[in-house]
Amino acid sequence: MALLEATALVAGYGGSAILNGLSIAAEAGRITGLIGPNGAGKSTLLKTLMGYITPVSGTIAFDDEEITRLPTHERIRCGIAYIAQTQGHFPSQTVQENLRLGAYLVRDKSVREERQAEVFRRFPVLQERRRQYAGLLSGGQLRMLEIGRALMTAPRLIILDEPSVGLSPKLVDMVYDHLRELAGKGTTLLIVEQNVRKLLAVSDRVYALESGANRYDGAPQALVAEGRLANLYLGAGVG
Amino acid sequence: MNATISATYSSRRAGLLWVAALLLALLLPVLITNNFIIHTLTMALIYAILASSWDLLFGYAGQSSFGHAGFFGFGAYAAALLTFHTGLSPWLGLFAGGAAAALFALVVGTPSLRLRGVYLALATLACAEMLRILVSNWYSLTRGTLGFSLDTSFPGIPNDTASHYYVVLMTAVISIASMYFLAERSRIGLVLRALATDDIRAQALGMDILKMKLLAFAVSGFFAGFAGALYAYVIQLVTPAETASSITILVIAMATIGGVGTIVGPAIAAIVIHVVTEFLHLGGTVYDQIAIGLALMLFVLFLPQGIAGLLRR
Amino acid sequence: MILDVINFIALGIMTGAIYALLGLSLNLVFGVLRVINIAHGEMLMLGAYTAVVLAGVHFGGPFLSILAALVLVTFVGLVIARLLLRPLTIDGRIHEQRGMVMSLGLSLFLSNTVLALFGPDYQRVPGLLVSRVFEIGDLVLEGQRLVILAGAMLMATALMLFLRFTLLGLAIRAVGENPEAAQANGISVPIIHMITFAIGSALAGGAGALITPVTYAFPAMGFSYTLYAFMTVIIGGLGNIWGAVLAGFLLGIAESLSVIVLPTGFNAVVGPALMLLALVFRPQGLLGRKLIRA
Repeated sequence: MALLEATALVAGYGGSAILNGLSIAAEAGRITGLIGPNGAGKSTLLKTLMGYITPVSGTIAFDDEEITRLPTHERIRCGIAYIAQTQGHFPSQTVQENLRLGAYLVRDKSVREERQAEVFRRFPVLQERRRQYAGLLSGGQLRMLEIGRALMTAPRLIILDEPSVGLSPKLVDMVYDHLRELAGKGTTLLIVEQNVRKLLAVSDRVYALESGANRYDGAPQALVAEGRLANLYLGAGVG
Repeated sequence: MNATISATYSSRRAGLLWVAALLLALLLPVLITNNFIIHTLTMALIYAILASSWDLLFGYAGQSSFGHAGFFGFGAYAAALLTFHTGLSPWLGLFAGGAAAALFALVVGTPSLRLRGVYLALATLACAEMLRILVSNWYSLTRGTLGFSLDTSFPGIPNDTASHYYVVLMTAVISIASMYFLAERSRIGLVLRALATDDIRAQALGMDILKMKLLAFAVSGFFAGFAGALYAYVIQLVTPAETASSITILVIAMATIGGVGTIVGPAIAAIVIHVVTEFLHLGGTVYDQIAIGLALMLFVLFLPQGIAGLLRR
Repeated sequence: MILDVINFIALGIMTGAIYALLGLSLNLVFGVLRVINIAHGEMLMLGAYTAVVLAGVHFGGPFLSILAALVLVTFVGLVIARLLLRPLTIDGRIHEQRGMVMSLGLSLFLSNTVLALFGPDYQRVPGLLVSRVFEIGDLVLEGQRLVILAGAMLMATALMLFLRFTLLGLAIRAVGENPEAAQANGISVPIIHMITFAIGSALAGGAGALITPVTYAFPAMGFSYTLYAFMTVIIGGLGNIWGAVLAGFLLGIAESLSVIVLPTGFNAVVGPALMLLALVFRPQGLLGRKLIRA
């Protein structure tokens, strides 16, 4: 059952369309990966899914409810969380304040405290640095903060835009361990990645985008086996 | 083939319309003997030059000027003071006023070179305000808020409303046409527009951004000062009000309603708005300003490209 | 001579308090919505005229006037934000140039409407301690100006506490810092814009009711206060509340002291000159960052 389903999306900036009738679906409880060269429309797709861009045509449905024109903050309320590629935090607020903002929609104080405790359990370094300004955190710590912040709403779907960017291989492994664990507990994940190898290793299903449309979708193993990735990537290195 | 014919036809039509309008404007004092109307039109034309000069700086070169009244007032005072103290002929005084204002614009533009948007607007405003305070209080030079009066006007022509009207009409047509061709049809215009749209690209093309910015300020300042000098010689009284922000605000309103980035749009809007407000004033009301404010808000909401923008489509 | 200087400084502190309030309130609007609100002074003017109206019907005292001004201008601010600013908002940001021109139109509209309704005369309003004058040694302090100082400090403190310790305050700071991330946290940026604009305008309105006993009310008063608000914000640094307060006082004192060295009337040049210097040499202001820090 698809938790998130985008159908025939046409969207872009100004006059030009970057997405040309793109359709993807994210299965509930599964990890769906999105790969593709630069300019293929990956970020545009995520922004459209999150409501930062309004599509010219096409629909987006979450849990069978149409959310195509819903404002971004309403989509969060539905149970979607978004971890942007960069600047997804508030540098001049403390770690604690950042997490508090993550829980903006959570009315119940005890629920908030419980979730924050859970985030601190998961990422002890955030607890250590909870009174520090987020702007002082390292890249890896920021990524942890952003994941922790997203978890404050206990989302059903987390959309991630290149979670591995700027991180050392060890940190990337750590991040993906956490993502795998979240998926194991039933959270649906939709991940865009340049680090194709890592993504293929965790995904249940992969979409390969090119020029704003779907060039391939299916099991990651098949994609590798068919060698089509090399055609798609011209030097992005798959192995 | 058909497209070119209809394009030539419509641009010929446009040209004919302009000629007809000019002819009508020339005949107006003959047809209408009411001095108030002619004088209103004279003032309207001065505002038209001013509005176009603002458009040149903002609509084409992308420089937010919130101190344009400063250029206007500086030109007015410069012209009046020069004529009064040195006997400079007003015909030359017009250009002297323009040149002086251009210099002032350079003075304003230089510290603001690296500023953009809001910050540039505030810097130009600061300069205009400083000028206003200066002329308001430097009594010995400017007679302060009493205003500096001039008892000479253009030599060689009668000192009456109709003559002034013709002088302003001619100079306005030449100025606005010059600005139009400068902005739309010349290399300088291309350079200015590069400044507005993409600094990086312009830099890559080897243009000195800073020099271009100063050029934009100087040219715009010249025309604004020219309008100011016209004002000085027609009204024959220059007060600090000529440097007040209320003029800048009015000019920005005119340009927005007329259509920023068209030169002609702001000019026409200036004429229409000034004429209409003067007539509303006859009713002894302040509703004209309320109407302008309202119109401005509505235009920004529903027609941000202005009337000229609407016509383009 | 020293006494004169002290008196000037004292006066400067008291006018500085008004500037500080103006800077605070504009900082909120400018820092969060990033729109140059030319009509900010008109919010102050509306507050002033609220006091005028209430005094005219002999209803309540100065405190009630300030309260009424706060309430009325909050409402006006909400309406303006909803009707005029929200349509200009794309992706959580207000179109810079259109927002400014819109506020220009609003300024023209409001000041002239009040002019049409009340006439151009300067209006007086009785204040709290208007006729009382305090003397500390040789220092002379007008009572009403002390009230203004106290009132300004009160409002500033209330604002700072609000921004620092409430969830809404945190959300406002978040939207000012990173609107996209704020949206990703479920914060409705348009609603926060409305609230912030309302609060900023209300503070200006409150300031208007506060200062009217000393400075009188007249329809065109708004623009010069808008100017002072911008000067304070730029000098103090955008996004920094403490910076606005500091800058307000510095500006007030500098303007006041400059009377000693400058010819009559020229001291008004201090404000624009300082703003220009700040813009050219230190655009981030005294304490500024690009973010709101309570």
